[in-house]
Amino acid sequence: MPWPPVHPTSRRPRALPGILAILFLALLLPAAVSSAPLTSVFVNGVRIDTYPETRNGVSYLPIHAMAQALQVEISWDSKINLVKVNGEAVEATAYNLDGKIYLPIESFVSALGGSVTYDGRENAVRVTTGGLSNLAARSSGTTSPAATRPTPKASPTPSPAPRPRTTVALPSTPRTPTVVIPSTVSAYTPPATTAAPPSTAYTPAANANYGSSGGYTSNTTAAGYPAPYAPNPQMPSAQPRPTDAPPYLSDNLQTGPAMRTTGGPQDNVPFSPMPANAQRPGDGIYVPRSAQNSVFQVTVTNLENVTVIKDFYRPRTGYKFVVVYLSQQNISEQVQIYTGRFSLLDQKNASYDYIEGLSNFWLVILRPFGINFGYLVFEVPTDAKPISLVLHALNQAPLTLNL
Amino acid sequence: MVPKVRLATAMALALVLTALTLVWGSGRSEAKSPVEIEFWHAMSRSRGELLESLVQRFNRANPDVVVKSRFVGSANPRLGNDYNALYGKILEHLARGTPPDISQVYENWTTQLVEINALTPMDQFLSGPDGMSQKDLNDFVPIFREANIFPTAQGNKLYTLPFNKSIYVLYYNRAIFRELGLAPPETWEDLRHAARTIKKAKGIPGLGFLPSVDIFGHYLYAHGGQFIQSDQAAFGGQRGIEDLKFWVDMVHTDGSAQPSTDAQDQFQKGQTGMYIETTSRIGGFQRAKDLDFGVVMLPRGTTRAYQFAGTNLAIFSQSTPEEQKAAWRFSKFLTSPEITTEWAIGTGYLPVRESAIRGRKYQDYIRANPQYSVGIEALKYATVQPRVSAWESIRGILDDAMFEALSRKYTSEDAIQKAVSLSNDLLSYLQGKR
Repeated sequence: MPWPPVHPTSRRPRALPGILAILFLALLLPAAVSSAPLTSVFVNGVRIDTYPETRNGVSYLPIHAMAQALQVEISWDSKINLVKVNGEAVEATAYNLDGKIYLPIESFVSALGGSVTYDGRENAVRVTTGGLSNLAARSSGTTSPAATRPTPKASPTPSPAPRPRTTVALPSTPRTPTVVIPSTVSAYTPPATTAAPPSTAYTPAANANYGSSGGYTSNTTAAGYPAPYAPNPQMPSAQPRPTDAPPYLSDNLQTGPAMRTTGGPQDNVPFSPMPANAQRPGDGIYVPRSAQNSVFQVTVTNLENVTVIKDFYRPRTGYKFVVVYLSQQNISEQVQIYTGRFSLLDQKNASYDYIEGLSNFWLVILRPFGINFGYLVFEVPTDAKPISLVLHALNQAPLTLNL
Repeated sequence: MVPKVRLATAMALALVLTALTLVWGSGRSEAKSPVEIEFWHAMSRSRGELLESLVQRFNRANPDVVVKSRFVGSANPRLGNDYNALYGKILEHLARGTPPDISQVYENWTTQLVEINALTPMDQFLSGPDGMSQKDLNDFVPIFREANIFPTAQGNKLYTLPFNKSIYVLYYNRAIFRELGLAPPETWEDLRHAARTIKKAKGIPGLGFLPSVDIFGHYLYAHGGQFIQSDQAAFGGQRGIEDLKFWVDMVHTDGSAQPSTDAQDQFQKGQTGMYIETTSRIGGFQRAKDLDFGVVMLPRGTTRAYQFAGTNLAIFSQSTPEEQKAAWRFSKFLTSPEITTEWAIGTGYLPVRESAIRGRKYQDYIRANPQYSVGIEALKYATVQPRVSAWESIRGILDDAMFEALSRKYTSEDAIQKAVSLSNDLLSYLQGKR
């Protein structure tokens, strides 16, 4: 096992994560260090009703519990792993553990100016939110880029807890000073949780707001919809939901609505659904990945081989379409007038331009921290294997993202 | 003798004067060589040729200016997009510091370009000897003019002049309609009924169309909807769902409409009864053999509102004042009543000046080609598409939504909801931090 038994003392029943989920997480987390799980969370001395998760020496709280603990509204957008506190983007990375969205307690709280200590005697984590009083100011007042960028905290590391356990010295999450929205692969859903809930479970209202029950709102675009931008390729609603999956909890961001398809035979309709044409490389899971230089961060959330687009457009004989879903963020302080041009490289190092008429990724002038997203369609020989996506921008070395 | 001497003197004087004039003239032209400006456009084929001939005419009439026109289209021979390529080149060259002096631009490009001060407002050129009177300015078709005025910190400014404009109309096969005793549709229900009747009687699709954001927009605007309002997607909700359902029902419930990339060709060959396109298609259909077609305004819903399409002319701020002035004179030329009439007759675009529309030349043309009068009538109800940066992408998102609903991959409800959600994300993420 790459990490310790999941939550053996949790009083909250949890579904067994699927094998794929385990494999997926195994990719994301380095070898784990064994530690006894934390069992309680105190915020300013008051115990709150939740249980932290510890993985690889890092403790996490469910996003819902975190919002409750800090008395703030936290939202998370899976597509770009954007975490917002009271509507304001913060430097934080959300993690998907067993299909639930967690935030790393220490780095998240300290990013907001609070502090975290670990009480080894009680196996508890103690959050002090003194520094959080400026949250209101952050969300309502200053909006200049500088003001919203992470500022060095006076004491970014927690003071050592009394009688710390051996594993309590938590590594502080590495930070890239220029990046407000780090995008890590771990933000994306492992397959076990992506099977759509039965269509009867879906009501449009369920998509709208988790705020009333959960204290945070969900930006469900990508989480809830399979295509074309959804990060997870496993989504088409035909995917049966595993019978042992837990009921979808309110703080599970993956409960976005399943796309319903209308019933009845569809053989005689002039269209056939696009997913039928989608052939996915490898084992069917595309793990999103990012690359960045000092100006842009590019994240590819999905890659598909497709034989027909919109039922109208077919590649030339001997060719296939490769669809790349991506986002591009300006992580510099300057407005980027020209955001560059993407090309695709295959295993023979052949380069391909994308087809404008089939793609939906448009050049725009990108403000600092602005994010553009969409998809690019490449037409490549049938035997071509996409190896990397290259961004050619001005006055920069080409930015290569290994696919 | 005396007269001879006088004649010789006169001739000598004339020679000297001529020589002097030549010397003076050449000296003057050396001191002031013509201002050269670069004009970028995406007009290909016959339109490109006509545009080039207009450029040459301007150059002949204005020896102090040389307009160099450049077709900046897509390098991709298959499924390229010339306008997309043009905007890409504009942005790339702006970043390099080498933009053109004047270019075709869409309204939503202008919004972005104004924000980074890449364009120079045209207000400044209105006064002065080469200016434009208020009367001339008021002569522009009002909706076109309004779409060219952009808000800035210093108030609203005229940034562009309308150039190649067209408006969506409904084409119908007159022979089929006559045969079946159908009247051209006035409402969307009429259209649906006509399509069903044609399907039943002739076994061919009553309507052929390429599913797109514009198709979605026709029904949306006709029912009082908007794509975007206050930087939020406004096309969702019941109205958007009804819109998608209308098309889904025509395709699947009635079986009377057929989505296709060949819709234009099919209509041209008489294989479908109706087709929706801008007025710029009229000329092509006129040249088609054996096609007896009529043009009417698109159906009305609870209201009438018709999307227009096409670009405007913008002048770049990095050019010198002389270049800008030359570019202004060129814009004035291209949008003058005389030239806009010629451009309209040669291309099928709409004249951008009211005096041009009323002018004898265009009226004669309409009499000979009555289909064009419909576009002029529709102009009264013209409405501009969103001018926000995200608009191109949102167009793509709605194209996808149309396909997803029509392919029954998603219900209309889900397709719309997804499109709204993606669009709102884009609208907010593109903003970054201000």
